[in-house]
Amino acid sequence: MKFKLFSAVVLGLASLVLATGCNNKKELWIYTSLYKEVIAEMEPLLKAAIPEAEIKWFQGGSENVAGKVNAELAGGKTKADLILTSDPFWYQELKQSGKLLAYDSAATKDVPSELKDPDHAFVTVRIPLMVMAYHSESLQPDQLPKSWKDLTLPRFNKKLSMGSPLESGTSFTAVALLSRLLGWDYFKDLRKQDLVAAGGNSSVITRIETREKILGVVLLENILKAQAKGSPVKAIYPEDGSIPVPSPIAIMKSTQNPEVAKKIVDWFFSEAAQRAIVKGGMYSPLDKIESPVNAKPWAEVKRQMLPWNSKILAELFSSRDQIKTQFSEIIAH
Amino acid sequence: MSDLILKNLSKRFGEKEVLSPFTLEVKDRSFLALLGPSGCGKTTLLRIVAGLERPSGGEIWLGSRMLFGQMPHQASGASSSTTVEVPPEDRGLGMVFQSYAVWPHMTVEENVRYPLDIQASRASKRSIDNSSKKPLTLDQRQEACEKALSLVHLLELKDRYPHQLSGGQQQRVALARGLAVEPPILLLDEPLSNLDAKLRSEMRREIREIHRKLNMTILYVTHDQREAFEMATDVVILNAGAIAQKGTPSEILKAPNPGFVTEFLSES
Amino acid sequence: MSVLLEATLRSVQISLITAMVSGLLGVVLAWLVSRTEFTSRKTVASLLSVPYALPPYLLGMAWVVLGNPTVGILRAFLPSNGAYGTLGICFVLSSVAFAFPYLELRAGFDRLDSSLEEAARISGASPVKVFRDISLPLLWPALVNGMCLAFLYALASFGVPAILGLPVRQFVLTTLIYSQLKLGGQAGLIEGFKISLLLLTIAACALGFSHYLTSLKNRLGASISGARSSRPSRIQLGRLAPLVMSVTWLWILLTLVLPWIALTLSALAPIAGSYSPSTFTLRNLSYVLNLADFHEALVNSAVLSVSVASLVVLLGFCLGFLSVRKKKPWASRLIRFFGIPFATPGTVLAFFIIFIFSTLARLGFNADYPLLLMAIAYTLKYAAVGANSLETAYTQIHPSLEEAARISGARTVKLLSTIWAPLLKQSMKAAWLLAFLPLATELTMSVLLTGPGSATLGTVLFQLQEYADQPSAAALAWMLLTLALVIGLMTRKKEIY
Repeated sequence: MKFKLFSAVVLGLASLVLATGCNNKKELWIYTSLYKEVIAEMEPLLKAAIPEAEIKWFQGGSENVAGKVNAELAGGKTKADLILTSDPFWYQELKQSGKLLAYDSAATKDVPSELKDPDHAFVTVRIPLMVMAYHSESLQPDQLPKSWKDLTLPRFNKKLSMGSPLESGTSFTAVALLSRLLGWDYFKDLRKQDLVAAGGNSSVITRIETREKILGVVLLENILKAQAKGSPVKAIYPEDGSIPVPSPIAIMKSTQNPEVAKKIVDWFFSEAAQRAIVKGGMYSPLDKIESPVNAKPWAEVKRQMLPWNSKILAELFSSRDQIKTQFSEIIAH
Repeated sequence: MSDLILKNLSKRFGEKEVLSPFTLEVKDRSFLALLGPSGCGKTTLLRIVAGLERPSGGEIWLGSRMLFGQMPHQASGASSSTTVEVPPEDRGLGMVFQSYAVWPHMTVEENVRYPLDIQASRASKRSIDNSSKKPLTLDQRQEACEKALSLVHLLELKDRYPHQLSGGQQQRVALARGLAVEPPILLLDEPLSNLDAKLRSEMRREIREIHRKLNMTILYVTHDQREAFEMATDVVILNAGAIAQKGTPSEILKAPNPGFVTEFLSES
Repeated sequence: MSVLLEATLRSVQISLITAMVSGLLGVVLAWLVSRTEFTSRKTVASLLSVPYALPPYLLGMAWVVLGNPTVGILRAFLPSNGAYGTLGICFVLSSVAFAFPYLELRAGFDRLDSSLEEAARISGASPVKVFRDISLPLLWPALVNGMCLAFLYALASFGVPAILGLPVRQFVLTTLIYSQLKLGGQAGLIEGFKISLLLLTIAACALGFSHYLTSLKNRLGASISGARSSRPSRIQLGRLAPLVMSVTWLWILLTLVLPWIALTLSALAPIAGSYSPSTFTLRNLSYVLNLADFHEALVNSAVLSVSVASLVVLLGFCLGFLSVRKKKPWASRLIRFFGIPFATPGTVLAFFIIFIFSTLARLGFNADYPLLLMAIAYTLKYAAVGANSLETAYTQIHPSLEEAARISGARTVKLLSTIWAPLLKQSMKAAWLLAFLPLATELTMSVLLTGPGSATLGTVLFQLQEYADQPSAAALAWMLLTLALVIGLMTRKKEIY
């Protein structure tokens, strides 16, 4: 019996060592916050397109991924070869500390310049859109809020929720852009509405579905996913501007396989990849790609959308920590 | 004070019959020894009298008071009955356990005072045979406590804790506690089996003395025939849950029943 | 009031309430089960030892569903906040933590010479008075120990305050450390460090206080030995029996059955909040079962929990022998030492490991293997389980059994393998399960230590809870709860009498 115990321990430790393992040749890691369904869609396509590499995915919330990479970098080097999250500010930070490999991909020639980093350190590969959502059986069309400003109306008291900007990159971007548009007083008003800011975008949908909080600030892709499952959640595109979250892709300078990494970046702008992104409920930065099913067409959205370019990015980036702390102090406590 | 009568008393644990139905009368003020090998049911019998075990059938009477049994209803001819079962805390008996059971977190005096204090606070509700007793005052209780302690020669140690006493001394505390309220019956469950030979013979003498002085009924369980015959006025020999023989010590010794009793007695 | 102060007060408040409630519940339930008789008592007794095995955050998830202000089945009984907030957290934690005083007191009752209580009854004391005057004072150390464990448990808890506290902006120290680390950067690390020290100080104070309380009434001595252990006579409850039965079964319903039902309904629901049987679907379950992360997590969790559980049992087996039989003082000191990481909140332990390894990394030793870090964290935390259970097991077996073998010529290794291993088989199995189950579903430390390729069942659940739809998270939660319930039921104490 003791022998069985002993061998169990040895086997266990051995498999641990194997699992952590040493890096094989041509193994690349993509650290991303893309939803699992989108990854599931992309994985076989990417494998077929680039058969010479073993491509592994590490998926987590934007902030989790950033935290992981930062921790790895603090230790000297990161395992990530490519990063693909929805927190554009982090890329600015990485670029400034020289951690990104510049690459001007030919596949991105049709991407509008305001969605590209001028030094080619990173480029927008997808555009999730932050809009408002509501439970279609709890609110009549004439009762709906029409703009972000409307959320401060008394009749929406205790009915609002959003994701936490400390954990969700898209929620952080929404907060950053909204603070720019409407100022921090807006958030103080939202606090009076008892806004719940917790978890990720999915928890906002859950709260709407269970009618705990029938209004939410959430990504369009979550709304579309829920609708596909038969959920009574519907979208509102606010009049004062939907919030784009231009989510970049970048190559880490420390990558052991820069050529393959570049090929992967190229692939992400191929029609197949972009279609997978659109299927996941996000907009493509390329005009020629169609809009997600059941979503407002990209042309219309672009007209109303809040503006975005590298200057705005730089401006908001420098106040990144303040934004988080401000938000925390106003809303989270 | 009155006789203890066990009528048709039996006990089974599941399938096993531990005490076959028997009837036993314990005369007031007698010293009855329940003698037998281990497993014969003598401790079970004692615990049934104490109220710590419930018999499977039969009746227990203490004088005119039913401690256990079926009390028939006399209502409009219909014959139904209710089970009477007086819980141990209401039987007013005294008991000395084989393991002494002296409370380690109380002093000797507190141990002995305990039943006295309870009796005082319940005197009005308690229905003992001697219901004419008035509740004892604090002084009277203190007196009773000290009386009991002197009987067992422990008065000087009344402020000690059990862990500061020897085994024999703890046994005496248990004895004093059992006597303190001067119960109609004192039950003893192999109280001396954990003591050495010298202490045992000393304690035998003391218990006999106490029986003489206080004139109470004593029910004494033992497997040691020497103890039984030396101390008791009446002996009941049990074998596998049934009474093998009963009588005074001299009666039994002169004419032991053939078979079990003779064999048991010869293994001295 | 500063966030830190508020979180500290809330942590202490929740821990105190949980300790008190657990203590009360533990005392009443242990007494009912050990000293009274009522129909179905044995079943109740063995069922009450099951919650010990359940990861409380699963119960937290179930209670979010049960208490949902709009569609929760029990929403009528709960305040407007549903299960969220301090009260909800205390309830869910107590529904598991009561097991600590309960089990300690049951063991205490078993060891207690019942003639002590019988002597009091003969002396005229009613059952309640016997309990107050005799049983409780003698079981005082068991009660205090149990309540201390419940306090530490609540103090260290992360999953439940995360699920039930964060959505309503209520922080405790563990969730505050977590959010500090998420804010990121050096600042987060330093803040996290400070809060960890604070948490440790509170835990140390609690331990010290409980030691003080036990020493106040230290006169056990003879009560544990007893010349002959007879079956305790049980108090017949008579007219009170139906009331007692309904209350105990209601408690079991509330803490075991209802949460499981809630998770089952959620797992089968097509979207959150719609629980009508006609719309039930297996889609959520198949989604989880097909997730790549789930497969990865299953392997990781299985490997980690099996190997760490085996390791701590082996450790306990050897250390116990050295401490009890060979009387080596360093072995006993090491066993005592393991009490420190055990009592340390998982968040703090994980945090210190991160801190140490990132410092080492800066000095050039890069060992960022999350699975390895998790293995280290798990081993440190659960070493005490193996060490203490087995040390106790050794003391309960009479030395003459070993001495007989030594006289026959057996040396240490042979002694261990042919005598002690078979004798201690039951204890080793019990200790193994005691470590395995919580490790397989561990959340608190894993969430901080996880990384690429190192998903565990706990981290996947946490992620699903945050980023996937509720039914998917519920599907995985349901699987884990069912597993825990099955194992808990299979290994529960068989009541002999």
